[in-house]
Amino acid sequence: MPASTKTAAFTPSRVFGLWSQVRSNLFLVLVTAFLLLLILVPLVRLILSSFQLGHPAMPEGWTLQNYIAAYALPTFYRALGTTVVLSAVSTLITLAIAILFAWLVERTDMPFRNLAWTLILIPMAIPGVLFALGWALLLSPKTGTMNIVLRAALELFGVRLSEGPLNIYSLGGLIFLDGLRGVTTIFLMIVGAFRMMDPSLEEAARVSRASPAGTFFQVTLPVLLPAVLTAGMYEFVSSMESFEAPLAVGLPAGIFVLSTLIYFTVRLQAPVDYGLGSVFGVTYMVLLLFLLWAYRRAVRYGERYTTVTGKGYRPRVIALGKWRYPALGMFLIYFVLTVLAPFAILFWASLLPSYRPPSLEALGVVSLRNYWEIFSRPHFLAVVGNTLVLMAIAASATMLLAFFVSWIVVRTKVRGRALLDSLLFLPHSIPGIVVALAMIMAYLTPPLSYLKIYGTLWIVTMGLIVTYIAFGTRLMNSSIIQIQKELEEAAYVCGATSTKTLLAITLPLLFPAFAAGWIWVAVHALRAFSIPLMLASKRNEVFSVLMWQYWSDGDVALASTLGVLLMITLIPLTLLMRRFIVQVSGQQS
Amino acid sequence: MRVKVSGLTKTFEAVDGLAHALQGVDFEVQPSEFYTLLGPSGCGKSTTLRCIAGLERPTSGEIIIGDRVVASSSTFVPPNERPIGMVFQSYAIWPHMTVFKNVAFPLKQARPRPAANEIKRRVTEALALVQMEHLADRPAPYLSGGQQQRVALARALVSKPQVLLLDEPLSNLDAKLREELRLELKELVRRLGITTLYVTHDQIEALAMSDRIAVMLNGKILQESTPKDLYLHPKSKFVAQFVGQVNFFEGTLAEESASGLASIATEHGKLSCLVTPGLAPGAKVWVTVRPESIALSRDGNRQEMNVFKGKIVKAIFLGDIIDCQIQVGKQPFRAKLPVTSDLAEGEEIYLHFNPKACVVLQHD
Repeated sequence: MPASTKTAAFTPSRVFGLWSQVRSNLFLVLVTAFLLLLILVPLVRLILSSFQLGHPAMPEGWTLQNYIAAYALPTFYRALGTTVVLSAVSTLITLAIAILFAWLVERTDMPFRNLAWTLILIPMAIPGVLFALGWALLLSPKTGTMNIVLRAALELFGVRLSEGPLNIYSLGGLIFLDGLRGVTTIFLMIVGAFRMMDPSLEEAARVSRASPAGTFFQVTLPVLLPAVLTAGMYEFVSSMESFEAPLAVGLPAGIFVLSTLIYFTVRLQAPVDYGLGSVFGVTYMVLLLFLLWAYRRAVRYGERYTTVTGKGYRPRVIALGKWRYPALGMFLIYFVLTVLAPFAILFWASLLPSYRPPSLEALGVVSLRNYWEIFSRPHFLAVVGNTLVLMAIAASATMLLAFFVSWIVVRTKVRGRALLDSLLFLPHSIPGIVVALAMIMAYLTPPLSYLKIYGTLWIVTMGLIVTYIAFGTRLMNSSIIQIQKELEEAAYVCGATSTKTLLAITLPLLFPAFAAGWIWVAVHALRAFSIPLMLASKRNEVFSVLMWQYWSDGDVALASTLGVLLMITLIPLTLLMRRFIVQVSGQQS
Repeated sequence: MRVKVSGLTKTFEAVDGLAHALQGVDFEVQPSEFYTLLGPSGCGKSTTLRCIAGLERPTSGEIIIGDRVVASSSTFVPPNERPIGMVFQSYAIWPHMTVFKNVAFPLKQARPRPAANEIKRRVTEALALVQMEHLADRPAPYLSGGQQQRVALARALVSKPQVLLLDEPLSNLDAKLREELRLELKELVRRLGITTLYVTHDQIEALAMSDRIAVMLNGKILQESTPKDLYLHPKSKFVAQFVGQVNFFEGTLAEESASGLASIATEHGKLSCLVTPGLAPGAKVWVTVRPESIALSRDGNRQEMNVFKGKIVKAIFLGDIIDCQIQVGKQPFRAKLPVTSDLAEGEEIYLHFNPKACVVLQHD
């Protein structure tokens, strides 16, 4: 901060030096303190609580009892095992589909490649919970629409079943949901490698007398392997964190994963057990931090032999011949499975007074009444209001904090700025459910309990800021770096103060990135599920939580109505936002 | 306005400890003088300029602009309060503003803020100085490199600063435009009579534009002088090499004669040279000769000339001159020949040069 470091002209004593140090960095001190409060305090509190029995506000002394109890529970090991198996198998499925799609889009002459791109991006807009609910309606053993169709088909062959043949409420169902969900992200992570791969590597193999197949297995695949492996590890970690599908279709079948086990322990079971929940939370967090550390190492190792250059050429294209249209068909099937089918069944359910599978007679009672009815429900308007406030405040606060912190990190030479930067990245590696649990622990216990924000919209807002600040600072860091330092310096020598420079030069130049980040956070806040649900009370319910309430109360019609409204809002917003963010930062969101 | 820099040091924290960018820089720029800091990249010339601008805080030392101490151990005036205008290497034209708004920016920072029509008048005046008034409403991203350079200059001059700081302002332009703008810039600052500090790594730019030049290396000023003196009387091998091309060879000072000329023993024979005082007989020295001071001929008889015998290894036709590489014993020489010369590669020839064109430097 060159312009604000003015020292008085008399001899500075040591104390004065320290004070001027603090004063000139007052801003940094304040921002850092706020972020510490926001991130570090809850995490420390969570760890402390795992060593305490009883209600966290009235602990009964320090003890290892929670750990002994937790690690003796068979449920815990079953949940851990399920989490690992679910993540591993669904990652393999995701990878296989994503590699096939990336190869088809980038390296073959498949028609309508742009259409394929759009089809593969849209699922991003569907919140995981809606995806799971849609499939619950399609594949529940007795009334699932697809099961009814399948049973009718099997009857033609003389096979009579009273339920099934498929059951979404099973480990297989979970794997199916998680495996499909991850494809978009992994596709985006590896498609660049497929596109940018230097074709001369393959050509060199060909002129060295390798066959086409030999070239693929000895050159193409090994060259792309680092990208594929890191994407696979990333997907494994994300699957470990998944909460929505395990909640919607795992819990009813008694299948726990770590995230739902925590939710169950501190929100559903009676009486709730915060000590045990904290142990699960700490274990879960440590496990994921370790996995992410391994992931980072792998990425760094992979980057060492990057043969994927930045030139934008389209490499050799492989002719698919008669397989061109079937290839495109696979994208359509993917789109139907991830978007169209769940959306259609939820839409159907939203048109009925109470749920029944699609049939001709049910068509008679179809109406849009639910869409009117929902407005007369108690809380509905309050919930919409909460959601909008949450979106606006979370987005503004996240991006402003990110802007200030990034400016400090990128532009100043203040000591400890690197530490600040990594502190902000920490929550990114912690599952939302653990962040929420840590918030509960911190704001239920003194001294933070005096703020009385437990159970309000504020605690939800803070939880969301904590999870999104990592994205915000990444975006701001890369954008500020792109702004040439001399543009700011030119303002200083033109007589502007540093505040004036921030406002007149830096912020306007950053505006596109700032706006894109704002929209990103707002959209994610709108669909956020695990944190609002963990922190929900009667006073702070938001849209997605209300929807879940209806669903768990058995009111499928109203839950579906909310779900359809949410999807209709999210699909265009998400696609627009993605384009915007890719444009301003060159980053994949 | 005068600029005085004394005992300036600047230390950066680098990955492997401390980097000493400036190690005691002293100089004084007179009012209306065009003063150039010349040196290779990393020599500290830009850091010096940025310290004067207030963009870097000196580790120690004092900077005075006019009568005001702007940087010392107890004072630091931020850049926005210094009476300076600056042109950056990248021009730093703000892309979210038009040409007019870019140039108006410094005026709008003044307190009290000038009236709108006063701002308009002065911006137009500044743009006229650089012949850019017709592009006032153009958005900054639609300017060519040369136009951006002019706008940056107008922005630096609009608030009528006392000191103009120029950080390699011509290095991002193509050769032809650079030559054009070099003259224009020199003419403009001379007309305005503004004290100018110029940073460059291009010796031709420095020689052509400056009243005085300071050659910097490793955070220190090696020599400070007028362009002509610097070229003719370099005080060290580095300066001789950096400012223009030069031939070197080793020798031993034999004796000093009355006329200021001394005789020097080299492996190619005895030479008569101009000597800087202070060298004792028997001292090891470097003898330097500029390529353009060397004449070549097929016979060796010249009065009062130093003569070496050599062989033309290469002769490259460059249009205005012929660039010759000549082997004298094991020592390579360069010479510049007029294009009318008929000497050819492989010929045995004689090199002649005037004793007054030989500069003797202390051996390092």
